[in-house]
Formats: sequence, C-alpha cells, structure tokens
Amino acid sequence: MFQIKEVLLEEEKAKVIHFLHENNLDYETDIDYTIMVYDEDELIATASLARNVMKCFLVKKSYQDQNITGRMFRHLETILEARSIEHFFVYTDPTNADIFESFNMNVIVETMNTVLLEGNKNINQVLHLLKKEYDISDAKKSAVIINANPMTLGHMYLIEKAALESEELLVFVVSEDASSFPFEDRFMIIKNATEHLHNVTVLPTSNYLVSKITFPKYFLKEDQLIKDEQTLIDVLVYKEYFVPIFKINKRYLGKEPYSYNTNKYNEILQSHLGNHIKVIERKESDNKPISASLVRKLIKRNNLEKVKKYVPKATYDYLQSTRGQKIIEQIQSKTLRRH
Amino acid sequence: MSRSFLFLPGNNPGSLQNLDIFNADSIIIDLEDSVTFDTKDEARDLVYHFLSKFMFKTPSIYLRINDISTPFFNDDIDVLDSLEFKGYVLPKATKESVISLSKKTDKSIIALLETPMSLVKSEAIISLKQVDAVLLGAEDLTTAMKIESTVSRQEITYVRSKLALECAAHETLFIDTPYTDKDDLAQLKNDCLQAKILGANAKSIIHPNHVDVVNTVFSPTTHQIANAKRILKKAETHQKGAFNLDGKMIDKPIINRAKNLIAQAKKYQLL
Amino acid sequence: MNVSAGSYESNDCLITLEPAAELECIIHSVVKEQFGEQIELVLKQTLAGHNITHVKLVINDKGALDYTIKARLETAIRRMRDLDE
Repeated sequence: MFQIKEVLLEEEKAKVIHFLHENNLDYETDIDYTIMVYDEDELIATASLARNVMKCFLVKKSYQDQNITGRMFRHLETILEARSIEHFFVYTDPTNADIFESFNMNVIVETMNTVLLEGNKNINQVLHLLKKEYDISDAKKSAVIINANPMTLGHMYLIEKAALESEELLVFVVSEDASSFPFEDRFMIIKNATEHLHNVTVLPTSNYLVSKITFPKYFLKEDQLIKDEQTLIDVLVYKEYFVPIFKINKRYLGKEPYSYNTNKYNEILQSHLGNHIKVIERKESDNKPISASLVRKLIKRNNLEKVKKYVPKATYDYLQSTRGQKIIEQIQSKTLRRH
Repeated sequence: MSRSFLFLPGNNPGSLQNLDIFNADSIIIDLEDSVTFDTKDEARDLVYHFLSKFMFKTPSIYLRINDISTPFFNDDIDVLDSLEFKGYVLPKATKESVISLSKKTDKSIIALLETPMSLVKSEAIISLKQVDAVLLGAEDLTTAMKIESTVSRQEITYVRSKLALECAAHETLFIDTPYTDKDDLAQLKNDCLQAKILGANAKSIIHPNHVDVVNTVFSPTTHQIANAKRILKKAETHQKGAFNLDGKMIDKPIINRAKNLIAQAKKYQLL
Repeated sequence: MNVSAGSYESNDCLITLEPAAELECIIHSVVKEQFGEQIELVLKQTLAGHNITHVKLVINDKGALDYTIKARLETAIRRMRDLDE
C-alpha cells in the first residue's frame, strides 16, 4: 500500500532533494509544502506546492503506470481547498501534460523542458474579462510592462516616449505583491503620474505576467542568476495571449545596463519578438541612470531631498502621505532587498 | 468458518466492486487504517452505496470500523448497520468496547486484539457471546511492546498460543495476524504453518496475492477429510449415542466436528 | 467556496460543487460517449433528492459505476452543508 507523507523534518527535505537531483530535477526555493509517497520503506514519488503552484512532480520509473501522480495531485488539491485557493497552476515536464489534462487542467504554454497548466480558470477568459473591464479597444497599440517599485522619472520617460510614438499605450503594472511598495500603491502612483497622457491606460498584469507563476525567478534576489529557460514561459505567455488579445504591436523596454537579470529578460524578449520590441535608452540624471533600486537606497538612507530629483511628483506626493510614510518606515527597518 | 480474511481499502471503488475475484473466504472492508482521516466520510458513503447496491453470497463480508475512541465509531455503525453484511471487525478491542458495540448491533463481532492490555485480558473478550472470532494484530502489539518483528515471528509465539488455547476453550475462531511482506510467498507459507501448529484456524491477509497460500495451509488435510468421512459413514448406522470406531469412542461432539469439516471441505471444493 | 469528494483512480470519480446562480453539470468522462447521459441522470436525481438547485457541479469521471457517483456526490453535498453551518 502506498502512503503519502508530508515533509516535516530537515532530513526528509534532504531526502527529497537528493531524490530530485538523481533525476536531474531541482527543489525550488519558493516551495512551502512537499509530499513524499512511500511503498513500504521506499521513497517512490514526490510533489510540492509553492503557494498556488504545484511543481517538482517526480515518480520513480518502475511505478509510473500506477496513477501515483493522480493521488499526489488529489492530495495537493485538497491542501489548496483547505487554503481556499481556487485558481492554481502546475509546472511539469511536457511528457506529463496528458496526465494533468485528464484532471481538467488546461495547458497555457509549453517549452522544450516545461509545460505550465492551470486549473479552475482559463487565461483566455481572464484576459478578455480584463480587457472588457478596462474598456480596451481592438485597435493596434503599444505596451509597457513595469513593476515601478516605486515609479521613477525613468519610468515616466519610457511611458511618455512610448505614448508619443503610439496611437494608444497600455501600461501594465506587475500585480504580484512581492515588492516594497504594494501593488495598489504602485498602480495608483502610475495612474496619477500619467493622468495628462490621454492615450494611456493603466492596468494590472494579473497572475499571468511577471508573476510568481510565470516568472518565479524574477522575485528572487539579484545574486541568483536566471537562466534563459526560466524567462521563456513569461515571454511565451506574453506572445501567445497578451499580444493577440490586447492587439499589441509594439512593446517598449527601458535599457537596463546595470541589472543582469532584467537585461537578460530583455534580451530573451528581443530574441523571441524581434521588431515587436523597442528599447529606449535609459534616462540619466547627473550622468547616472535612474532606477527604482537607486530610489529605494536613498529612501533607506532617508535622503528624501535627493529622491525628489529622481521621481515624478505623484511618487513624491505619495511618499509624503501617511501611507507612504509607513512604507518608508518599513523600508528603513528592513535590510535592503532588490524589490 | 473461513480460512482467509482479506482486508480491502474501503475508499477504493475498484477493489470493492471486484471483492469476489480474490478467492478469499471472507473480505474485511476497511474503514480504519487504509482510509485517511480526511476521507473517512467518503469511504463510509462509498461503502454504504456499494452494499446497498450489491449483494454477495460468497465471500462473507465484514467491515472494519473505526475504534471507539474516534469520532467515527458511532457514525460508522449508525450509517452502515442496517445493510447486509456478516459482521464487524472492531479495532483496539477491549471488553468495554465490544460490549458497547454489541449494544448497537446484532451482527457478529470479530475482536481485533492489538494492544498489550487486550492480550492480557483476552479471555474476558473471547468469552463474550457476540464475539465469533478474534484477530491478532501483531504489528501494533509488537510496536507497543517496543520489540522488533522477526521473520520467524518467534516474538509472538506466546500470544498465538494463548489465544489459540482461549479460543479453543470458548469455541471461537482464532484468526492469525497478516503477513506483511508482499512478495515472499515461501516465507508466508512458513508463517501460516507456524500459526497453524500453534492453533490458529485462519489467517488475515493484506495482499491479495497471499490468498491461495493461506487457503491451502488452512484447508482440512486429505487425512482429516478421510477420517471425518469414516466417522460419518459409521454414524449413519448408529442413530443414537456413542459408538466405537477403530477402538476409539466416537460421541456427539466428534460427529458434529466431522460434519463441520466435511461441510467446509465441500465449500472449499476439496470433495 | 468549492468542496470536492472522490479521486482520480480508475473506477472512481471526482466531484466538485460550487454555489451558482442555477444548476449546471459539467461532465468530463473517459466514457462520456456511451454513458454521459446516464451519469447526468444519476447526478441530477441525487441533487433533486436533496432539493439542490443552485450549484455548479463538475465531475471528472474515471469509469465510476452509478453507486460510486452517487456516493461521491452525497459526500460532497454533506461537506458543502457542513461548511455552511
């Protein structure tokens, strides 16, 4: 009889990691729940959850026709139910896609090594709903996708330049709440800062772009270098869903000379989307490129006068508000992270 | 009278609806250990609908319910007792829990003895009227006693002998503990023979591939069958009282035992 | 809130219930061609037996017989009601 056990001890985790490594798989750092399947005393399978993403599925070769994946999937589903999470995702090897499709999951995108599926929702429906909610037309348009943590004059420059060159511009703000500044606040600042630009619409990226689902590595610390494969899912989701649904024919990027990871992401976007991508030179101030991380460093050092030089009025006003003051306190009390 | 009692997981429709293909004399549908805590209700509903829908003449069907200390004990009985099945297997049985169960049902009870205290007080349990059989749960027992299971199972020699003696005294069936290694059929056979030598009448099973070995070991031997036939033949001509056969006194209890043995042999298609 | 009962084992099915404006049954089955109507009948009768009319039901069937479908649905219904209390 097979028994499913959850990983509780460090030595159990080490055992799972070893089991994954033997099969050329990695245990990912954002995992918050892992199960092991035993046949008597033998570890024969494992799977994990990172919030609403199921990943790191592995079943020993000799057990692969016994629906162990189905049992693990069902177990993780009940965990998600208990956490009141409805919309969820699966990362797995493309050869497993059939199995998960038989549990009513839908394939979102597939690369050579990975397939991303979702359950209980459908990306097409979600994006069409978003399009309707923000009253987006079917005309050709441009897009900018920014986290803006917080918004700087560099972002402002990118948006203004793109807006000037386009009939219509969509500014997608990264919805994932993994940054110093909460999504709601980042979103509001950008809305206020772009009020005077009549062809600009500000909207959220939803779960599907630059999120912990499509691009988990984006939210890791700068010292962890990303590989091409890890950005590819995000690029493909953009290309296969955002581009056709929102009728985007140009995406503007700010040049990133100092962030290895952002630069890498930009390179991969360019290699997959070619002319669709337009890179704008980075806005400089006193010969120094303006970046959100520079602004956060200045906030950390409590140098708000200098911050004023690098951010639009909307950001500065926000930082003066009670809400902004609270975030400033938080940033100053924490050791500095990338986001 | 069964030789083999096969446990099947109660929350698995695939094995429930095939319970008659395993050749076991009795099936124990399990709602306890093989069913996880959060699927107890699923299993109970499934077994309810399964037994409402299907009837079986053979094999005999027992339900292993959850023990009296759990919140599931009462639900299991309340929901399932009205259905057609032979009896209950009561885990972690004590005299008190068997009495509690017998107040709620008229069905047969197999007491599962698996704690040190239940083995100390086993005779009080075996002597209860509704207890038709006891089942030795050696895995839990040895774990509680902090002793290792050995292949030869010498660590349970005493409890096997104790139960065999007490069951014989109360004419109760003694069902031996299951053998846990799925693939070692040779050692399974040794284990069955050892239990039989000490006085077990049947064996419980957790791997369906063990059924044939268990049935073979616990079947009446050809020698026993031949002997019983001779007793019954001679009894035909002696309508009343005791008689002499080959220099031995044959009385009513011996004739009855011979009848049972022949009935068993017929049932197992050994005649 | 969703509730569910069952599994993806063969001969079993997984049923999910979700409050909805009206009754909706979505059937995914390996034997939908032959048994889709039968499955729907069992589901609708069982729901009607509990006077349930406002629910979205999704069944992922792996070849379950009627008694299994009924049992899984009964469990899901009880779980839904336990959640409401």
